Amino acid sequence: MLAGGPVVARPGPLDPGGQGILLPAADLLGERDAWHLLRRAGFGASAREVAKLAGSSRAAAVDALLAVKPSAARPALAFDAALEALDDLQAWWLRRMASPRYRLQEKMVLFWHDHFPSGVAVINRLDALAEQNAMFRFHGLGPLRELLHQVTRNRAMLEYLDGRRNRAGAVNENYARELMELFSLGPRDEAGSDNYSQTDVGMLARALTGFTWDDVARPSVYLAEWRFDALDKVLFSGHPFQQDGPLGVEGPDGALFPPETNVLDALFSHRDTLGRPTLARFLVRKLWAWFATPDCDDDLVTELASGFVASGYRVSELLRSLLTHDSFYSEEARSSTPKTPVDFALQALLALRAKPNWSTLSFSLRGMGMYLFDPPGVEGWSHGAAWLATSRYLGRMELAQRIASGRTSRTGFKFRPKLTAGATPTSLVDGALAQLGLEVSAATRQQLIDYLSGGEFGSESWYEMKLRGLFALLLSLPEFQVH
Amino acid sequence: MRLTRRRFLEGATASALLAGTHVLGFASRASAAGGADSPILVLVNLAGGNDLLGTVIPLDDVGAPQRSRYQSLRPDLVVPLADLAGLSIDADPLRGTGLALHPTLTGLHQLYGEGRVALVLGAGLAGNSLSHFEAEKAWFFGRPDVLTEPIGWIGRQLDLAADGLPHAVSFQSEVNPSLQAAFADALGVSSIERFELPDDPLWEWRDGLERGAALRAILAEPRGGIGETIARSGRLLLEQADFFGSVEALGWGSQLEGESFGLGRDLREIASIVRHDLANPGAPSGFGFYHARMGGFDTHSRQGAIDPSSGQPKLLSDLSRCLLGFQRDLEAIGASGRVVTLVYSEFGRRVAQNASGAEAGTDHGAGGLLLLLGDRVVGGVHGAMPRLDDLDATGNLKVSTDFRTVYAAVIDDLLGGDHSAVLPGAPFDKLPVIQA
Repeated sequence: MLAGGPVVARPGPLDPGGQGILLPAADLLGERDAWHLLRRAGFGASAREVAKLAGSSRAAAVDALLAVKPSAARPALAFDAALEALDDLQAWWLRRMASPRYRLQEKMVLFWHDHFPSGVAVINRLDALAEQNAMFRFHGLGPLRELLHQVTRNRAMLEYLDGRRNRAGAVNENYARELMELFSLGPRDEAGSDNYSQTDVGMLARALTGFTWDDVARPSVYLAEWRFDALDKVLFSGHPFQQDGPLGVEGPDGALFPPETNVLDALFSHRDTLGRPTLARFLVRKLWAWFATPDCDDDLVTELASGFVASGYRVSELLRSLLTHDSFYSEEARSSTPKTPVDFALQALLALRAKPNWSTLSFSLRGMGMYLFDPPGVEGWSHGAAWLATSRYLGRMELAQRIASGRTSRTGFKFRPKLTAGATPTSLVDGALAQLGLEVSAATRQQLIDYLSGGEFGSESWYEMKLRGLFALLLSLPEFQVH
Repeated sequence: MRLTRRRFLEGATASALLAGTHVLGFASRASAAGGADSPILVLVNLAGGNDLLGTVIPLDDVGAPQRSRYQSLRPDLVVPLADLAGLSIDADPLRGTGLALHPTLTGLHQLYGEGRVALVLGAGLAGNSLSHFEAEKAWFFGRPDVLTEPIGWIGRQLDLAADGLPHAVSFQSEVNPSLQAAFADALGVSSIERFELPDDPLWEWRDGLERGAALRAILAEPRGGIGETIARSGRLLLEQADFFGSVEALGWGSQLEGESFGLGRDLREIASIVRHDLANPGAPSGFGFYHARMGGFDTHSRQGAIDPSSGQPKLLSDLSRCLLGFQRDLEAIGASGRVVTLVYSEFGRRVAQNASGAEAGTDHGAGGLLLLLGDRVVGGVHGAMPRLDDLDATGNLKVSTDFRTVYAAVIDDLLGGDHSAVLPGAPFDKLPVIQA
């Protein structure tokens, strides 16, 4: 959209006075950049929103995305809401994801749901899952240290990974192992050395004993002194960052252990064999994969991780660096990552400005392999090409057709393609591609034009049918499955 | 509705012919592997780590103090001897310890009595990781030394004979890494009943034919990278929807007719495809490899001892029912001589329980159970139950049987392949679990 070369900045944070300072074009969002940013840092947008954002500086656009207050919003569910209400919880969340105000906040709630999974396969209490979801909303962009603390004492997680059953004399390793392997360090560093031993798993498990609650007498999670293993432990024995003493997380009064005996701080002080911050690098890689490309260049990890550490592990600051980085706007980052089913569905609905039926959408998402609050396991969802295995791709084609054909409530969606006087098949195809922010090869474009031109041209309803067919096709293209 | 779907498919096929691209026609299927008498391998993954000692239970202390250690290390998970009456199997081949199957495994015990079940005790890899994800990768890839290998052990076998046709189906909607190949395609299928192209929801849509043709032509365009991977999946699904639509998945008298989800449904659908192939010898599916998954075996808590309504006993009860029904289906349709089912899990569990009373569970362990089912297996107990008085430093069983000795037997003796071309680190001494 925007040609290369210097562009005069609009008045904005970079040029408050609007003096017309020359900025390199790279710092300003072109239309393609704006599509990319709104898809990755949210769940897509309409072409109108994209046009509005184009021309802003990267920094200003990302500031605006991050200007969202921590929120503990959650749907009203009965304390003992049964699983039948799962539809309502999913619909509530999907609707919020689709709201422009909360796009980055909700993108991170989804990330944390995938990173710290809990689900209905184990937990039969929706209130605990809604509470966890709200906790991600409140802490998801803040300091990681606080988020990790909240996850560790969260009812859904204590249930999902047995933390509630982990107590002095009956140590359960489930949460401790996954906390290190999947949530904070990874099993080994980039040189292939183990980040921890089986002994560490046992030690950490003992330090995490004691969290519990009582539905009636004391429904908030607390640390029960008589369940806590207060004996001395040694974590990461033999390393410079070894910790020993009566390690734990918090005391019975709810006060945090001091950093030298707090095992969550121990995870932050872990260093890999090259002396680099393990946890920061682990999270940077995972977030880069979520927002940009499956793999992250080593130097880029180092750069982003050092900023992350310097910011006190504030997730919002890491995202600010990540989403304004040149590498985030590379061609590779725009087109090499398959969209999750949630991204696929919401991007389609937002770009087409279609009116969704939120409850039936969850059912479609299940067919595509991503039923919210039901992750496949403690590792979360598998990303990448796995999202497009045959049955799941079929699920996307089904939804594409339902959305595109949505003329009545029968299909659950309402969508009306715009038909302008004097339009030609070529102008209609180009208009539809622009509406979706989609780039296709010349051959594909010609196929689409041929499709639209084919058959017995006639009434307006014929055109409408062909146009709906065109959108069903566009949403089914391989190019629409990646971002 | 059906009519529009058919028109859509006709469009897809017609355009492919016009474009001169490869069409998966019935004639080419028949010439491929998966003919009427070729072997079929079904892999079943018990995800989470199935407890060997909760499945195959020591009855006495012959050869080693197995029963007494079992009772003292996990008192709340013990199955009393009285509940094991009538469930005994052959004694431990190495030590002579008496063994029995868990009381919920009546169906499996029946099959064992018929000589159709091979139980491989203490299966795993020495020094296996206690991480689910690292341990399962060793099973998927057939090698312990890499974590990012994109090709599964069956995938490598498939690649050796890659003919451009798909021969593997994974029943978990995403393709299990065991079946992942470099060249040979595998399908991820959640259920063949639902594997059909969308019906047009509005009857006014009369252009299904043109739309199908356009989609087919667009998917056939050359692409690179991830775009080509996705387009390939799209082409596969257009081809296969036609085939799966022709398979009768219900109403043919399957013992698993009532299974509406999970392993039972998946095994019924596998039997349905095999049955379809037998009835249509000129147009077989070409599928010779299947993968199904049953989750829930990560029993860190409330593992249960004998109550079949929850915990591991419930899982075993479901497993036993499904395996028995599957075998009986295969016998009824005359295919049991061709099909071998290999049941595996990433690791066994810690010998000692981690809590007392009803809360008792077991943490990640080593030395699990590998099980083979079918007319062609060498029934009986293979390997040896690891000693319960000689655990490793973590308190886990020591692996007694390298599972690759079973993989090698399956590749050579069932599939007629050469395991040294498939398994890194080969050759292995084959465990005699498949009849020559």
